[in-house]
Amino acid sequence: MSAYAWPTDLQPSGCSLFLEPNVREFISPWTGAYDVVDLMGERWHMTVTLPVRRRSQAGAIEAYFNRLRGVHTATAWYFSRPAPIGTMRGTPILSAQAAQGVQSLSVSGAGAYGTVKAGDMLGLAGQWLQVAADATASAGGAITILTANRVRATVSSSTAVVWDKPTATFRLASPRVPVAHLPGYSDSLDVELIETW
Amino acid sequence: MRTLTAPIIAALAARPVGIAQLVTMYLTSTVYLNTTAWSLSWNSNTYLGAANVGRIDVIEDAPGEIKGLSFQLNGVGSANLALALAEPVQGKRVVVETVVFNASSVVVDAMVEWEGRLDVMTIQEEGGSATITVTAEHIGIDLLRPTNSLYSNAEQQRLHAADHFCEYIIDQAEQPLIWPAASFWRK
Repeated sequence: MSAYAWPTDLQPSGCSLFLEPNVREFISPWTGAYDVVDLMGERWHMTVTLPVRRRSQAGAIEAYFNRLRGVHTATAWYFSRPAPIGTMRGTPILSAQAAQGVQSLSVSGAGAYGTVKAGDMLGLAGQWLQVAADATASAGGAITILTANRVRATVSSSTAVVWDKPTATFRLASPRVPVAHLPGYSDSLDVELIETW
Repeated sequence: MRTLTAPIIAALAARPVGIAQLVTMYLTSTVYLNTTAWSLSWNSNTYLGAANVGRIDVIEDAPGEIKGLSFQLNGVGSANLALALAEPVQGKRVVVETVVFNASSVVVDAMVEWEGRLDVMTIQEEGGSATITVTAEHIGIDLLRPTNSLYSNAEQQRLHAADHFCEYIIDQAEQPLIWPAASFWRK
């Protein structure tokens, strides 16, 4: 299985993202009381809308999805927010190990008073971690970042925290991606991607 | 009745509760799998996340019945296929444990849910997909299996050649013993 990078010229006109939890819900039929069991392993679902394209450009869409053949995966960044809204730049790294399941990252090298904003997407060892709350680094560039999703495997200290188009690996929700060709152009289409690892 | 450890009781009392199942198959090279999408470390072993490719039957408890279990693995991967084709799995031990996570998603403890022995592994291909299925018998089935060992001299000699305890057992079987003997009262 190979992972093919999302072509940079395949720029979507729309993108929606949600985190699908892996839980089982139980609702009492008598009292309406609600409980939930966490089975671990939440995944990102991203739906991208590819715009109407000229006939000469439409072949690239077909070729990319056909190349995946339902077997291979795609590496893509979060098209709606490829870089943080916050000001954190430079080469931030983990200043302490991030254990499996944690939702807090200790980061150094975030730049003096660099910030992250809730919703910013960061990359850590190939995983997307979404910032859960605004945070500001110290003068020395140290920052503690709370994340919306959990670290799925322990990541060692000094691992790079990617802020510039961090990528995650996805598979197509359906391996069939028909591109509708109309006279002179190809129609827009929606493609659903599900995070895989 | 199952006795839960204190850490598990504490984790169950908290919300939300996180659970998973660990499967350990004691094959030539021990296979460690878990039912989540993550790889989990427990007891110094790494249990590979099989959520994408694995399935375990529902474990059912019924009075008077000892039920088996079935495990399925996606057979697309060559490693899994090799496992099914080359590994003599019959009779190998398999243990299913339930682990409970605390609120920080850390495994707090594990308890054995089911234990048994693997039966034959089969590969099924249909509808463009392949699956490897292995059934297992619960270890408790041994209790229902008739024992073929008898209290006979031949069996005792087979087990302990120097032991003649059962040598006259046939002569003694079903013999009426009258004690004291009638001659005692005639004295």
